[in-house]
Amino acid sequence: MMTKNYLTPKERVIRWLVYIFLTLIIVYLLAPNLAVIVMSFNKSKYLQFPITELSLKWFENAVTIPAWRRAFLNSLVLALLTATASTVIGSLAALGVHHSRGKMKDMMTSFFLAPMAIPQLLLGIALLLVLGRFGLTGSMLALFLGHILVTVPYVIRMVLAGLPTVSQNIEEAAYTLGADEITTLMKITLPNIKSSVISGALFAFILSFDNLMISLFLASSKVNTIPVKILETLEWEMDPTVAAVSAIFMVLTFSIMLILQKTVGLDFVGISARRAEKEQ
Amino acid sequence: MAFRNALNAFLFRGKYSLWAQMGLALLIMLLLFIVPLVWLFVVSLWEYNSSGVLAATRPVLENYGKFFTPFYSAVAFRTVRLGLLTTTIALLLGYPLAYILSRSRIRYKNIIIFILLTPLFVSVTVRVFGWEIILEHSGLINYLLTSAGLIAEPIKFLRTPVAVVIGLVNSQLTFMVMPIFSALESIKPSQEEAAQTLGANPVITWFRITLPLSIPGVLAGWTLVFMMSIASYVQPAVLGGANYFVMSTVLRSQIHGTLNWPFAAACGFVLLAIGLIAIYIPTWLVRKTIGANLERGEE
Repeated sequence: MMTKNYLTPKERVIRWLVYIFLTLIIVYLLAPNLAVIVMSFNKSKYLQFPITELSLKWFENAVTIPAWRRAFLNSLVLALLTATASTVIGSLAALGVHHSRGKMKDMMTSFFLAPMAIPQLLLGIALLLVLGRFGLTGSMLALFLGHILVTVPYVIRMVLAGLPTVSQNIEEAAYTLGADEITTLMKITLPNIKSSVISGALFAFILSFDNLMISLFLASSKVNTIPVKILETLEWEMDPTVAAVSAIFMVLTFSIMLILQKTVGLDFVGISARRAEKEQ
Repeated sequence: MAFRNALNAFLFRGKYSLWAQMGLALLIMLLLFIVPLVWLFVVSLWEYNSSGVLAATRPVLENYGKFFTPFYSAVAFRTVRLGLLTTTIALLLGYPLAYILSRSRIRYKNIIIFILLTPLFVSVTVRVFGWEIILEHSGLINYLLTSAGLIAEPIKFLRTPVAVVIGLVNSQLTFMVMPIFSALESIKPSQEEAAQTLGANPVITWFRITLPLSIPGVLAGWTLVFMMSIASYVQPAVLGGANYFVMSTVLRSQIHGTLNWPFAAACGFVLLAIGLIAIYIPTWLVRKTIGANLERGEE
């Protein structure tokens, strides 16, 4: 590689253009998030710039109003249950797919990943149609079932990406030494694909926590999640409490994202992109 | 211990052990994916009963036929236009971004990638609310523009199609950049260097080598973003205002308003069909034009 410490005028112009472009993109991507945070501290009830006075009263509203607290609790419980269930179900299924042979393996992979290709809008009404028949709409069970349909494919994809990295030799060594399959899975296989499973679980948590399109159809005015309640409030009135709720919600998802980056890295997103292009 | 051994035998030792491992996921796929979608398709062929009670009727095509009436064909057209506009803008912004992230040695690259991934993690309702604050009549943009003296009166941004596109591109850019980025990353440096050694300048190298080899990534991004844009709900509903009708908002008003299930189901499948056509056309075009080069390049 050639190293040089000077730039030609043309290179300098290109460099500036690149910096300007990147700055604009960053501003564009972060603008809505920052706007919500700024607005949550605004004292006035109306969205009006410039902001003159600050206040914490919207945060007080956000944590004291029962409807918001209930929605928050629902979202949290739902995301925890969904993440746990889909990690177990998805990892097991990935194991089964991984051990399948030949055409079967490709077929099962595409089959399990199919829900990702269908718009959630369509999945949402299809689920409402069927679950409604059993009187399940507006229940946590319906929301849970809807959410695992969305999250299981992601867990399968991530665990499936990790499994080929486990050396067959150490698994066989475990069998030779007398371990049965469950012990080998828990002590050898899973620890080796720890990062895939953890990112799968945390991503499943986020997908469920953020989910709008499935919840929108399966929730009711009584059993609600935060994204649905935010949307419903936005459609009806301008209540700055939404800004405070959104800010709290955003800080939570951001911390999970940071934890992911610091522990297992965000590479799995790249992995999923590489997979997507293979499916073409 | 007996249970554990039985579980071990069931999951790993039986003739159907692979099916046992995949069992729960298969059950989910069957009961929550295949059955609902097939059922929904059947309902899309039923006649609408104005009492709102959903009951089987003889199969009709009138729910799909509605898309040939002026109002609903305009809705379908608007949806396609929104999808094309969003996807094109996302591509025009996303390709250079992916190229810069993949090829240049800028500082803070990790921070930029982190910021780029935020739309995957922050709920769409929160971000759309952010855009509402920014684009509002008395919002941030109008405040900045008027105080800078650029405009005398606030401009109406919110509840316009422009606002919908701004909000949609903001959510979808990540999904465009990711596949293009990984396609660019998978190009061997030797391929680009070979072109340079043979005398090609950077522009020609990009046209002849980099662009054709990154086309699979572009296609993947195009597919993903188009499908998600035409099926997006929050941006059209909140940023587009009450009179901005696209397929998704029409669909929801059928379900939560008039209870016209058959038509809502038909809307869903028309949406899916539009998406599949939009995936097929560019893939076919690429096969026809640079397909031969592409296959050679992949060897």
